[in-house]
Amino acid sequence: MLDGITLGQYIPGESIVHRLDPRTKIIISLLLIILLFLVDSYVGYLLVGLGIMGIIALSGMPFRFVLRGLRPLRIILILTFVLHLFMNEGRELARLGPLVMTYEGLHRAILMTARLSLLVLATSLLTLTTSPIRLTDGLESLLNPFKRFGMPAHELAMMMTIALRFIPTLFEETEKIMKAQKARGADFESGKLTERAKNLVPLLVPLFVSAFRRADELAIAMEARCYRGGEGRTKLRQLEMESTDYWSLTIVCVVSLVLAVLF
Amino acid sequence: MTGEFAIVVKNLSYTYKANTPLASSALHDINLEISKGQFVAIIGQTGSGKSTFVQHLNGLIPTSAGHIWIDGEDIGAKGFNLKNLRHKVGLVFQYPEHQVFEETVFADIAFGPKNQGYTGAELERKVRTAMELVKLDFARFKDRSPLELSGGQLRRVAIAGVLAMEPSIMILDEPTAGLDPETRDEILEQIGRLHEQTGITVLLVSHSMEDVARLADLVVVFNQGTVALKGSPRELFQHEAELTAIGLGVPEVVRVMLGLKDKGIAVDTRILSIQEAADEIIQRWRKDA
Repeated sequence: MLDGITLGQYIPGESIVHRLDPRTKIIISLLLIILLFLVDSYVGYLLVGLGIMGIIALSGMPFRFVLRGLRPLRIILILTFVLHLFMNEGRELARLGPLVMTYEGLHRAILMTARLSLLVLATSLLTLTTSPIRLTDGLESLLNPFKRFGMPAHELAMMMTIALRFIPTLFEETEKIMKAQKARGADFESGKLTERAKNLVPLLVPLFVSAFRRADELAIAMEARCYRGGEGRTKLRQLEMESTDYWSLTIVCVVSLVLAVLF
Repeated sequence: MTGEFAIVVKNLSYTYKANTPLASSALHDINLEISKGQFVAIIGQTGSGKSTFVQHLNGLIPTSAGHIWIDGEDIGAKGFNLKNLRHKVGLVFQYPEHQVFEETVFADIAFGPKNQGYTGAELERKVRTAMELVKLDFARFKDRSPLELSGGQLRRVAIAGVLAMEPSIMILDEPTAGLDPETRDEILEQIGRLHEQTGITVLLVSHSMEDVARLADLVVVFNQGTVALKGSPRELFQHEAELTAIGLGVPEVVRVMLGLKDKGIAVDTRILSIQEAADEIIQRWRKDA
């Protein structure tokens, strides 16, 4: 059930996308996200989608694997689609009892679903090709200028890495506890909604307990290694922008600008 | 398949995350027969596939390649009732205390039998029996919060939680991991007594030869997803070189006897305990003298 989650996972590789400076990739992801909110037409989404597909191809990752990242979100995607389909006013397309399906609704539904799916793909591409350590380094270095205004850049970056790092761990833990309770006859798959919610108690209680225990252990382990925050901390690997970084940034910037203006 | 076997496994293979870049083969062509009432130890290094294997036996991991028969029934067959299977095959996971969630010990142990549909006096009887089997005093512990218990006690609560379902096959995945030596010996001893008292089939997963030598009738050695060796502990420990190559080794006392034999002293090396070894050496000594 939880096997298909690609969000937050890192798949090591040697492709050009993997080798890009993390700062470049973060900025590109941000540009793509902004672009996805600016673009508002079928052609626009199609082109952005093609662009993202191009990046996936460059990264050497199998398409089907990346697309699987959408699977856990299918309920949200379907809900988005259905809500937009029925909740928009306009010319009637079909009628389902009191619910009216409109042409305008269908239009918005397709656009919104496309936007959401592409957002997930663009962001999961970032974490799929960037190791958590490089991701934090990149974030920290991008946030550095804001330190002057009292922004705890290092701490924020650290928190984000830890959160990202623990997504798969928590999923594994969930799966393990689920199996253990299933072995004791627990049922997570059938029953009415209220019953199902109640059946989650044997899963959630141990999960929270273990999450807190893990957090405690991690804090102690960090202190034991004399971790004391960002001040005066040096890095083993310094980030360096290379010509490919500048090139890819330029290309994405120009293309985004054009797309945002035209579509 | 014949009825005398509790578990029959044929050509079982399994790959984790199949069809993704992270695919890794965990089991490869496992064949195994386990008789009813046998005490079986499953031994292997970390990552040898033993946990994956036992999770197949109660259907938590569906059989993707190969077949498993439990009490003569193919559990991979269409329409097979997995819920009944899980009542029959009790599985205690590694660090089982992490699954405890209720406010009292009683409620947590009752979770399994309650899911089976038991209530009232019958439920209480099952919980009481399970607690007695793991040596937890019913009156003293039933109303306590699991959070107040020690690691060893909590582990016993978790084992009792599976025992209370009265399975006919009991699987314990590294039940002594992370416990101090004294508690470890206690738990192992209790598992041994449990096997004697109830006569159920027991599968004990472990990576320590010392743990299982005294208890098991049959030892199955897993290595890199295959069954490398199997046999009674006495037979198995004769394969010291292979076991060492796998990274498992034999109990110290067996090593001593094998060493003596190497030095030309004709002792019988098929011993399991220090007592047996001492007797054998004294006997040898008397004969030679």
